Amino acid sequence: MDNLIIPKAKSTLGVNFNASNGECLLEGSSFPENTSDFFKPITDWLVKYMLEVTGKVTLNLKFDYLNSSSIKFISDITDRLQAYHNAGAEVELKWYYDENDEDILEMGQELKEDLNFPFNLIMK
Amino acid sequence: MAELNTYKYFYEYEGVFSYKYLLDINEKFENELASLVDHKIFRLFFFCVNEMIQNVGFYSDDKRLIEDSKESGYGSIKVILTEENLEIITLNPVSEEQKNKIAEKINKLNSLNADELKELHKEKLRSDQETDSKGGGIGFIEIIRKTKNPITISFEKINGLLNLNMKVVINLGVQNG
Repeated sequence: MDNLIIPKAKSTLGVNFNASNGECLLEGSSFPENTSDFFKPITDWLVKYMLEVTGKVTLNLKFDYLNSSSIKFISDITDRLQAYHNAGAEVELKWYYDENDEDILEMGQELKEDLNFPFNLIMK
Repeated sequence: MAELNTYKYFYEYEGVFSYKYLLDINEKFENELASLVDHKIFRLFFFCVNEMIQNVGFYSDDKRLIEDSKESGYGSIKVILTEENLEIITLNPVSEEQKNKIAEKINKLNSLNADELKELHKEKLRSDQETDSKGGGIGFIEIIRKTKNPITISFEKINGLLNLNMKVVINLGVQNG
């Protein structure tokens, strides 16, 4: 299975998903022209990894800004990780935030409330 | 609304709300407005103005062809900074059918308290996307939650076309409270 790498742009996230060790990174700002087009390859990659590689997933999230439709896709990804965890797989999420960025911190705190796999809020 | 000469910043645009416009205007606001307000206020503004611009682009009843057979909504926007508030006001044509849906939706959201908005936000995150929503159905909820103000809407006929006037107010002290 190939790695998934998408360079960070002004309005779209940088993506670095490693198929050999399950280390996955999303970073930057997200307000794409078409949110579902942007997130589809990311979700597809994750689903394929869970079905074929079946290894640990460590998702590192380092967001500066997410528009509302991007928040929904991130929630969808974390729900998929929850289902993977429920099926017995090892999952870890690291949610990074700036000291002065209460929005991103609160977003992480709210997502964490409904998930029961290891979810770490980490100040950058 | 304050008199024009008391504004600390004023921006106005009428035209097509394309994605290119969104990118261009974000840069303009970063260059011109970011230094006039607290960083947290600007981040809140950035969220709200992006949601509102995309809203006009997606849902204006007056669609214009832009490129490669793509269409974007036509409308107008004003951004006003006073001593107390940062206001974003959009205006765009809507159909009679949209009018009733929007009014019902916004009035419902404005009536909810913070806990109810949080619950609805979570519910929307985990629901299938609304069939007529391109933004996941949570943009307005998040604007009300983050600004801690209701969204003000009114409808008016301009040149025979029904228009939605939508105003979001960010109190400059909101993030300090």
